[in-house]
Amino acid sequence: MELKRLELENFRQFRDDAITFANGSEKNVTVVHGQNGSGKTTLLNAFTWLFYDDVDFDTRPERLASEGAMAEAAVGDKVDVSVRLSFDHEGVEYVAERNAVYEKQSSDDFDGEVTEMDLQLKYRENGSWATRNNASNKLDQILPERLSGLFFFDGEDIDELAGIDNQDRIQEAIQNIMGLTILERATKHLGDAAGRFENEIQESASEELAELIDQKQAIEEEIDALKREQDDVQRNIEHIEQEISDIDQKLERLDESAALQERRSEYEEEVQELETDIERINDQIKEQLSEEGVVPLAMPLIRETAEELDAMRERGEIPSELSDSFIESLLQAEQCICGRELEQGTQPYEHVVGRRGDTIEDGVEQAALRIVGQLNRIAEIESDFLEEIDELTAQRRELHDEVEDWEEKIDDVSTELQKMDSTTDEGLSPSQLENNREQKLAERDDLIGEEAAIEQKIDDKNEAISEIETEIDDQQDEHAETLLAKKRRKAAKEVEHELQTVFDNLKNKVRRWSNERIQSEFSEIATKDLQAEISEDFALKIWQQVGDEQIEVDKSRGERQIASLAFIGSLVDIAQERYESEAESEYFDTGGIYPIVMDSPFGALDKTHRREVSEAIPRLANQVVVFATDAQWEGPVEDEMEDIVGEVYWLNFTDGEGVDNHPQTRIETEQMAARGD
Amino acid sequence: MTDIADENVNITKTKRERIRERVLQAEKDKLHLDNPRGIINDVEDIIREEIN
Repeated sequence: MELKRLELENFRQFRDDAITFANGSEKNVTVVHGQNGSGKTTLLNAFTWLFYDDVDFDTRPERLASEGAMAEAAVGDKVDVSVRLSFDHEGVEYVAERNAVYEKQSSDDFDGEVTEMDLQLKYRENGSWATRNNASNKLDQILPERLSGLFFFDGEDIDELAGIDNQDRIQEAIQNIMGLTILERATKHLGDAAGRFENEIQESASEELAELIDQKQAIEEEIDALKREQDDVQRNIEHIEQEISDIDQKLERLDESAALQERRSEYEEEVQELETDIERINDQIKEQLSEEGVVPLAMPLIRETAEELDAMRERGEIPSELSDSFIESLLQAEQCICGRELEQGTQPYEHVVGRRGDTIEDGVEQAALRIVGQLNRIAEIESDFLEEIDELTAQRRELHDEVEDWEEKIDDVSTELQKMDSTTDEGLSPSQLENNREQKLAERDDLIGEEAAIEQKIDDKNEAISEIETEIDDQQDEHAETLLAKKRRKAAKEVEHELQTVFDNLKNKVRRWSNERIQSEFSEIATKDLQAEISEDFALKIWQQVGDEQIEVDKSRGERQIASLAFIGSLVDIAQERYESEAESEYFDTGGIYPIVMDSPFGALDKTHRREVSEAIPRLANQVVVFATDAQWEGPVEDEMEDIVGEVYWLNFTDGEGVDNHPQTRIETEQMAARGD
Repeated sequence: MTDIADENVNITKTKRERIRERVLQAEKDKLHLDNPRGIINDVEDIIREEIN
């Protein structure tokens, strides 16, 4: 999407004004200067009103029509309000226009009443203009409303993106832009459709099959109920953890307990780190087990085979030549040298029969010797494997011992705190707080146990479902109707499974991409020792390097704002790159090229950060529109950006004091002379 | 025996690809809606048409 021109008629304080946007490859920035209250936020709202019929004004949100136009109108007169935007999208020229007609109700009515509202979207095809019938839907496809906050944003609020309450928004934004939403929805809906076909099977199936489906559906309902229960328990755990953290803060604030509480926090951090290490070792053990864990289990059988072969060789039961008579003797005994039964008509039987007339270059005895040698080498793999596992478990034991030491120290702190029963000036006693804390910890641990038990139940039930599903698939039901429904259910399930796999892989890739981009963007514009990261659960985190350690920083406003800008920049960048590449275009929901329209993006930044951000902004998107006050613009921002600014406007505001005058802003290419501020 | 029984409920790769493409397109068409009403019916119809 590339913005070309915005025209406003009677929209708030704008009577008849327009902005032409810069969109060259060298100069892609449009700057609109305006003092506080001159209409910068109104311009941002003009976009959202046009696209989604949505505005967000702090003052008089109901007054959309120009106050001046309403004042000039007589009672019963109608005032046209309109916003018109010309833009290009995927090589097609568009003009979107929203009109509203306001009727003046009384002589002192400056708000008016909407009598008509209309949205039109025209596009140029083969040189002539045509109108889209589904203007609203098409505009939402071009720039989805759920993403609009990322591309049309108020700098004063942007830092919220990096706030803890907005992780959902981050996850949603990433998923939407990267095409993950489409996969997630498709997977879910295919599952729902498979459920419908299952009902069909049940209706037309034999009693036995119907019974199996019944059982499966009953278990699925039980799982749903368990999941709800699990959500409740998780919420309770979060609530209790919040309470514990509140108590910790109180203990930190009290002079008597501050030092002890601080010490405990340090100990707890140590425990947390050790537990991360333990987790890592557990993963290594799991990996070893899945790679070579089968060896110790198979060892008795391997040993037995090696011994038996060797004994046979020594007893001369293995001929030095592979003779037909030896093959005949095996077939007669109905047993192969590997111990497998040779039943007539089976594949192993046919295989041995097929060896009649074969000769082996260096003889069967040599071959047997080689097999014995190879089987013995497996014993070496086993011993390496066991050694490795022993070492890992020893490391884990050591870490557990260390955890125990720290936990004893934590326990000591708790005992000391419980002894402090003097009441402070605030009416709090550390002992009381500590007792309360202990109780909360016990409650939390109970809940964690409860949650694990529920999880186990869910796992068991899922296992039961997959067993029943195998039985359902194995059922040979001959009704054509049932078979067709079975086939449809199977198709839905298989495609669901395929898309789920694509989703999982893409999600990991997207996380890696966004991480790489955000780290490089953030390191360009933030202080050297800070790093931004998108975590496993798509949370935006900022880390600080202190010595050898990385600690999560409490985000200051400036850093949050920078992290959010880096985040948006990274998304725009990846979306554009992915849009331009053919691969995975199947999952794309919308054009991946977005402009960025920012109101006061430098508001909370100090001078250094302003310079860095203004240097980064033009890299963020193919087109950037910035609304800024003179104070925000002058100095480092202006120095960095003046060479890439293609269009400059001033919002010249007059407050319209006087009987027939009303507040009005003109959008002009020159700053109005002799301003009050 | 019917044709279906002969095929022993196996779904070919080509069929799966067609279903996948059509389902993704149907989702794409309704992606701008928070609550894509009727989409399960659409998915069900696609599978009915492809597997018959």
